Amino acid sequence: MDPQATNSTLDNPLREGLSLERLPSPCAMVIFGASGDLTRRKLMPALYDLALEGLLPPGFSVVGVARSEKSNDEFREEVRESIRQNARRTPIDEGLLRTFEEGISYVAGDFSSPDAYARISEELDRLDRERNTSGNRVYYLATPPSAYAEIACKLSEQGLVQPIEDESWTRLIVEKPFGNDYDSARELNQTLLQYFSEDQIYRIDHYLGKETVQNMLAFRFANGIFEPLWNRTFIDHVQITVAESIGIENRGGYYDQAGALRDMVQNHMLQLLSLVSMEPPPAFDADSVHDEKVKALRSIRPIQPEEVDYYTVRGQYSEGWVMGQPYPGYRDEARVDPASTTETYVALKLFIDNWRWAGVPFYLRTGKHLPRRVSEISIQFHKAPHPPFAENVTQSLEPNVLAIRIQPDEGITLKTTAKVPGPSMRLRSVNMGFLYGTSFLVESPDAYERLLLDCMLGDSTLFPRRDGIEASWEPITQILRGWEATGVENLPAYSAGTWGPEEADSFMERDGRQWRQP
Amino acid sequence: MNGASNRFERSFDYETAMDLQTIEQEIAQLWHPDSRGDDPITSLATRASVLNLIVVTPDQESTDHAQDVAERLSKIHPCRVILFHQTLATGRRPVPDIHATCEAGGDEPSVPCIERIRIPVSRQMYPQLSALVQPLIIPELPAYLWWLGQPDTADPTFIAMARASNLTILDSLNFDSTNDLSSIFELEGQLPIRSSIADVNWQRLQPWRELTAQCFDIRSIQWSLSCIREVEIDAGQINGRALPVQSLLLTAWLAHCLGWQPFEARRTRDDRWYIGMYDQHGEHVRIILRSRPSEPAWAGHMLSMSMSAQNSQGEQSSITLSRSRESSLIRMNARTGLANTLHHAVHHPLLPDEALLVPILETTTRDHLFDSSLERAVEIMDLFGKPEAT
Ligand SMILES: NC(=O)c1ccc[n+]([C@@H]2O[C@H](COP(=O)([O-])OP(=O)(O)OC[C@H]3O[C@@H](n4cnc5c(N)ncnc54)[C@H](OP(=O)(O)O)[C@@H]3O)[C@@H](O)[C@H]2O)c1
Repeated sequence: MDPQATNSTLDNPLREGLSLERLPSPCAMVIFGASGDLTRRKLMPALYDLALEGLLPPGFSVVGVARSEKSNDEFREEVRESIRQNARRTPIDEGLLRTFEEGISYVAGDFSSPDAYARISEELDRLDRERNTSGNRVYYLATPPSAYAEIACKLSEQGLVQPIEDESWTRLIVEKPFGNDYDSARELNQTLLQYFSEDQIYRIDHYLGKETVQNMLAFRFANGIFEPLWNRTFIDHVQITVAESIGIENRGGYYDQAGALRDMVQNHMLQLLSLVSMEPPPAFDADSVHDEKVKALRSIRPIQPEEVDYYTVRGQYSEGWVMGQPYPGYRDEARVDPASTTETYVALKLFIDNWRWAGVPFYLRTGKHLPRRVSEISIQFHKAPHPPFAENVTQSLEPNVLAIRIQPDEGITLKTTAKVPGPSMRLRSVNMGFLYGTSFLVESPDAYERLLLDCMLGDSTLFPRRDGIEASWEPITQILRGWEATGVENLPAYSAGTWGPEEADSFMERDGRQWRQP
Repeated sequence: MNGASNRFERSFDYETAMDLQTIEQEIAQLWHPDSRGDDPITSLATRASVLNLIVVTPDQESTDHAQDVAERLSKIHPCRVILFHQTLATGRRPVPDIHATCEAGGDEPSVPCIERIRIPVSRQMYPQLSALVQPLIIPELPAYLWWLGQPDTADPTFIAMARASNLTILDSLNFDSTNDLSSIFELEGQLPIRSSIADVNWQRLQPWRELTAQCFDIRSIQWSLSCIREVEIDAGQINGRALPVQSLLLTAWLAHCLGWQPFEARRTRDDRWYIGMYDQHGEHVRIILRSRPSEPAWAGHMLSMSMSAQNSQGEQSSITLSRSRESSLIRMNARTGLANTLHHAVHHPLLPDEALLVPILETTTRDHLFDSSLERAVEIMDLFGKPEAT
């Protein structure tokens, strides 16, 4: 938690014992890229849902910034529409929506224009005066990544970064992608750190805002029985799957430059990997958790250029059917180079070189247009060393698997072996499932709700830290270099709607293992 | 959980004497795969249970209500519900009804969510309640006692049940008299340290407390917290009944948090309740509680609160929180001097019991803030003399 997080609210004795220690102090949020898809689909609905839960502070205000000219009223109308379409909780409370809208305004201007910042500054002053936002600001960069550095610099030049009063705070939220390799991520960090301190910067990885991802920490560290098994002595290997049934949608321009490794592995999947492999932190505070995650990431064994073909598999989807719908091949998508060699599927085998995990392979795979949307981590344990049953009984004996499902049906299943009822000793695998969603039929907040709230509260536990971002880019950049060096003569293809190229199966079979059917 | 829902239900009705062993067997039978028509081996379903909810209801109407609430609650807190309803005529045999319900979304296999054991009790059986409930609770899980209606805090059965539970849940909204708050306070003092009392009515005050606290997060208003001079609270009238418990509890909470010391209290001629307190600087704070006619749904519920403050330089501020009936909002207006006004609103409809119980069922430890506020409330009541509160 940053030092500024200890804001004035702690002087308020009426807050004692309220569950809303988690209520931020009054503030304004400036959203750069206010007319964009992210603002419309995620940010505004998340803010409205927070308002509905009573989690926004009095006077909370949003200033939208983008190039297109529009009046406050036009922007509010857009916001209203986006909330109606995308809010998690319906029906919309119109009375609340009207009050929420009172705090919304719009500033048109180009990110490069100093004028725009002068107007933002005026608007923020007005909000301090009229809505008591107390000089507290969150700047949200929902913009093309190329604009991040410029906006940070201009904000600083216009005096918008330094707290106006000593007790006020300024925070910056940066969307993904954060860099496109190790050097660019490092450079972006260095640039942002010229204008903001580390504890003012919140780098979004929305996966970390998901309830089940946080539940994984509870599962590992609030139970005494799993941690003793969580190591090379008991675990054979780990699989992390993040499968998407959607394709690249309208993001061909971005995706063709990025590919699956940058788009999914560097951020979400390595975050999952670090959560599953990290040592227990001494405390559940931002720094302690980050320290352990970074240690795990730094222990990933680098893949040398000459090893990439052995440790990685790439693929690109060709036309096919997903969930009953026909889709074109990747190279036929809009804004994609018809000769593109960008991977839409990637599988990796990684090792974490530390005492706990030495020799345990971590298999990661992700892809577009796979048969279904599913994210899960599965921990496969060693087989029982000596099952004392007849050979014909043990032939079908399978190892125990603990699967942690992140989406869509969050939960945990443990595959065990049981005796088939009857006179003879026959064994069979049984899945014991604890489905989080169906055991607690309570709707989880959207990841953005959680993350926006945490930022306003100054709690950065769920936002990767600078060294975490760089540590995750390091092994990825090694792979990218290796791929560049080896070229892509025969990029394996897979039909949309299948579980990736055949090469990915042989990749596992070579190790005497199989991908789990998620 | 969205989408289509699968509902799996199974019940046993049988006419026997109260044979707890049979009840146990029947519960086990409910979860037997055969009774769910599943493949016995692949569907070794695990079921989540997080607590025991023991419910005691005085009549049929509250029994039906409690049953509905428990069923909805189980979606968030999967649990075993043991419901005793005092509806059996003396001399009749109790016919327990054992029932399991599960709802799961979409194509997911049914996951059992609630087991309900419903036992009618007669006057005769009533003293045995505590002995009956012990073998039925799932061991290792906390037991919550939800007592509907007015408890008699001197009743040995009630005390035994409260002592055997981790948390006893009452609702002071329905108390006949504010005097009952005193007896609750006394009872809490007698419970073992692992047992405590929760008041649903205190939970209803949560948004009011939160919003009041939020007002003073606003920097330009913060100063007024230490120089509040007057507080007025309105609540919906309950059948001509006097002092509204909610208003009293909120006043007591303010007094606890702000270190105010009550020194006088009286009922005024225009049917208001006046409470005089000294703040931490020895300044006088006047508090007026009023009951006003309202629609039945709002009876006993806080409708508005206003606070005004003045500092030694003569600066003034005022804050009003008021419930808007139409749109389920509580609105806040704050003004300092003439210029500085602020409007804020939170979504807060009248919450159904299950929504109020959800947070209560997440805790088993004592709520010290409630305890301290209750203590202050009792102090205030004492100042009213022998309060003629009904
Ligand atoms: N959309 C998602 O679901 C999603 C998910 C994860 C991460 N992200 C990340 O979030 C960021 C925003 O994504 P998006 O999909 O919302 O992008 P988008 O739809 O293209 O929106 C970009 C926004 O930036 C504004 N903008 C661009 N250049 C500008 C300039 N020079 N001056 C002023 N305004 C400018 C645009 O406004 P005008 O059109 O008015 O110029 C628009 O409001 C990206 O970094 C993306 O990678 C998005």
